[in-house]
Amino acid sequence: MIGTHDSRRVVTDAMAGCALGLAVLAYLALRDGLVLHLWLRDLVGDHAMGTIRSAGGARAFPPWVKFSAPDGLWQFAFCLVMLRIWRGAAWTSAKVAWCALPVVIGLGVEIGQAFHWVAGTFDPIDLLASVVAIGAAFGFNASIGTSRSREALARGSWKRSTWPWWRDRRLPFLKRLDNRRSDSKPLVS
Amino acid sequence: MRNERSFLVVLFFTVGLAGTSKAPVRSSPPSPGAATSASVPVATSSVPSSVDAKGRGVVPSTEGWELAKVPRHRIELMIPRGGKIYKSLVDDGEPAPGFIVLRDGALPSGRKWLFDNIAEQDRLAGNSRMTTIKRRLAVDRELARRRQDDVLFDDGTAFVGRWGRYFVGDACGIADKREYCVEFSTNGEMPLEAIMEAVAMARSIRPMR
Repeated sequence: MIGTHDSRRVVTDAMAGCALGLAVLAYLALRDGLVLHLWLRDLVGDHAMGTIRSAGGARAFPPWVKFSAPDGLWQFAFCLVMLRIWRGAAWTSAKVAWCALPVVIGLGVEIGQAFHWVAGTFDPIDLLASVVAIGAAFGFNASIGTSRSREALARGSWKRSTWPWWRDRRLPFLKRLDNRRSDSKPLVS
Repeated sequence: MRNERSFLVVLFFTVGLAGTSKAPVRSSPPSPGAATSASVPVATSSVPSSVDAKGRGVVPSTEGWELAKVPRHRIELMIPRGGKIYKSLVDDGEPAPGFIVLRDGALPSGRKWLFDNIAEQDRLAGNSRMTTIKRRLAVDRELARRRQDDVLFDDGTAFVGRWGRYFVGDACGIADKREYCVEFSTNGEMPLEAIMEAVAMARSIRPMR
């Protein structure tokens, strides 16, 4: 971005953080006997852990909330963070590989559980949750568009890339840039 | 720069994924000075095949019962009389006179079972002693951890001394203490057979003065 504040980054970070926080909370409060419990107990202490555990144990949640939703939230956060890092970069093989890695890991673990390659229990609802989460993350990333570099702007390959586009502070700058250009191809229509 | 950040993100999320796997559970408690009593038979658990690793598919049934026989008056200290759980334990099945037979596989874990029961009783009584109990619990657990003498499980979920005081000590007459002890034991991961094992162990301990 050129001197403008990109609210999309803030929104993406907040979404990923909330998803991951919810997933961790669900794992802590609704599940029993995970390695995460041992780690977090050392981190936050017995008293806080007891509060979290009893808050979750006192209510009855449907199984998909207990077992599948945390997986989906983890997958969503993972994809979103990776896409956030590579947003605006050219589609090189490195970007493809890094952005595909969360998908491969998430789906690979689920499918690996079906074939007993990975420890755990295979559940088609878990798989569905992961697929939905991947779709949501990639869909969200595509819907908010990408930032373009100054060089890309100079090349004229700029498309409407900010969201919301009507609050784009670059418009005056781009119009000035457009006036300086010799060819008649407008940057901003 | 992006490669490094991506690597860190993958590392973070993969470690997080590893954290969602099952924690290793110690089944045999190491307890110096407290030999396991042979007077109470404790069988190995037989988890039904319908139960998966996440604990789903637990169906209460009368099949695969009978882990340990515990005197009824001792169980009555732990389970409030007249409750749903008490009735299901005492009136169902064919317990020997003076004994209660605890079912194996009937409940996913002793923790949930006891916690639900205590919470239910507490709600019915219309009071909220749970917070007080938990506050005291944190202090007591810290003391026990510092003592390091009678830790029953590695993660510090139960202590032999606590159980001994509860089951054979003279503090059993106080209802609050009773709940305190149950709550103490139910706060951690503690399967039913482990509770029975602790009970068996506690019986061999000298009563608290």
